[in-house]
Amino acid sequence: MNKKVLIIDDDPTILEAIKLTLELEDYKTQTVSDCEKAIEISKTYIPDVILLDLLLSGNNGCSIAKELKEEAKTKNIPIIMISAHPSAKTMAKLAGADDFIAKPFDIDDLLNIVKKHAK
Amino acid sequence: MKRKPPNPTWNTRASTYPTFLRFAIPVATVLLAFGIKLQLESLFHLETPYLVFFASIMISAWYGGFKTSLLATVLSTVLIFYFFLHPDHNSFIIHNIKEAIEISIFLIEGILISVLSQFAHNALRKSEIKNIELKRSREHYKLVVDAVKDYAIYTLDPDGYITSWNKGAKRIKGYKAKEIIGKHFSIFYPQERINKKDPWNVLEIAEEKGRFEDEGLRIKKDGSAFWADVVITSLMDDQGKLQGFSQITRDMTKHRELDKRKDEFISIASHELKTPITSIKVFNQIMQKLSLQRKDKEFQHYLNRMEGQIDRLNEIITDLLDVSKIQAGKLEFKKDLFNLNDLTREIVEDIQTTTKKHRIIIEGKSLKKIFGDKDRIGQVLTNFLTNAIKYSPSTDKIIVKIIPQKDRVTIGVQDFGIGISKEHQEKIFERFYRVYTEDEKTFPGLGMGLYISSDIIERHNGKIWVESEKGKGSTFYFTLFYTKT
Repeated sequence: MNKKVLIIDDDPTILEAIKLTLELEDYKTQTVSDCEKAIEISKTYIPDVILLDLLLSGNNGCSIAKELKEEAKTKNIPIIMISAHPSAKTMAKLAGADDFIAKPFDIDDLLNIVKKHAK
Repeated sequence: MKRKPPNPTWNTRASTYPTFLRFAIPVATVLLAFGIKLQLESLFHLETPYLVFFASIMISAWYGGFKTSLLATVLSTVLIFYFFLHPDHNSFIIHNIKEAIEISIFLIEGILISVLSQFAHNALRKSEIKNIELKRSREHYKLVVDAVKDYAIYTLDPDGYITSWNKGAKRIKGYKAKEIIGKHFSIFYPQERINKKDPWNVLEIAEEKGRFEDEGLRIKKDGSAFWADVVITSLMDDQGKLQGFSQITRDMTKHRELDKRKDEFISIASHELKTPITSIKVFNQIMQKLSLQRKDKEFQHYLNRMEGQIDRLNEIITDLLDVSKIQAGKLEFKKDLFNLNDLTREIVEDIQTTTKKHRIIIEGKSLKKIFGDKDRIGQVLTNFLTNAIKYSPSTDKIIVKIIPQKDRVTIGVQDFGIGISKEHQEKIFERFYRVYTEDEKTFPGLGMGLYISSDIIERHNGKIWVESEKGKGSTFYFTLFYTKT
């Protein structure tokens, strides 16, 4: 059974790029760029991994990561934070994420980190 | 008392005294001595030596210095010569050698007293002038410092008790001078930092290194907190003994609001710039994979070249954003305790994956934790390692040395590449400085990595430097102090 990945980012091109990358390795993907929709879809889609852009989550006052970790249905789903910020690693952990990858990334790095958490 | 301005060439204390007294006192005292001697002789038949006149010479010397004393000497000599030199009658004739010697010795000693008293007067005058100058400069300084309203400027004794307080301190912290002088400066710190003994640690560091700069919350008299920028400087006397500390505190609240906006802007700019680069890089790598599958060597080649440029662009943007943060004075650090060993291992692992040619070896280890921004220190290490790789293209080894000492740990990154000549070594940490090789080939990059690294290390109160020999390689070092906890 193929693993499911939910990609949450506000840039449609990035969504497309990441989606393409994951589908190359036979992952099933769902993309969303809206905060509220993201929570909804998480609860119904129940992905194996969530990729989340930090700017979306943190500074906009949209604290998806925290909410997902509090929701019963989604609290066990690993969240990997993506961000351009160099100090985002620590911020990501504080926001409740399980791991972090810096933008821009190598697709192999992305695939490795998704594989690691999508067990 | 009428005061005359001091004569610049003969700057005596006495020259400031009224002329009348400088004349009257020697005359009066000599006459008095004369009278006493006569009385003692006639009333009590006491043959007192004319040494009583020395008293008037000395009084005149004490009062008015050389000229006054000389006058007294001359007057005394005249009177003695006429009245007392020859036991039997009064005259100005010298009868024998004994009398000549007597009067000469008296005169010489009188002159000697006059001269010596002048030195004493001069010395006194000098010290008086110095005192006046000192008092004036102290008052001036006090006015200057006191008037400053934007900065809290105050001093501490060596143990941290407050010894002075200016208007700015009252405005910023809320305490009046009367109520705060004598109290310990830890009263300004939030309780958590007092518990961690931070105020005392800070004084220790300031004493050791001469100064300590800190940004953090401070508490006002009313209990409210504000963000402060604090510089503590240790004050030493001529022998190098600690006299106390001077402290300057700036209220950064307004600055922080402005900077928050600047930070948000930089953060958004960073995000905005990196987003398209992310997509381009991903698409490029996907195309590389596909052209590999399709065995299209030509496309592979071009896509590979593009990848290099994308990475270069990314590096430049990262550096630019870091530098703009440094310029804004706001490269923010999130400091915490972390393990330098683990960080080094992580970074080396990451970097090792980028080079198949070089082998990165770690030597040594450090057990104590460092208080600092882990990601930023990691950035410095990454910068050292990427430079090591970049500037040693034809060798295959890079050594990372971890050297712990009692109060600090030093990390060195050694490469065996082209090295750096002495003239470049001094400038290499400057902004925009790039090294050119002899054949004018330049290495890519903006020249900001080391500038950023040195800013990071310096703001952790550490040291950063390089040891290098042209043609043999370079070792870049940074040192961080352990926390005092």
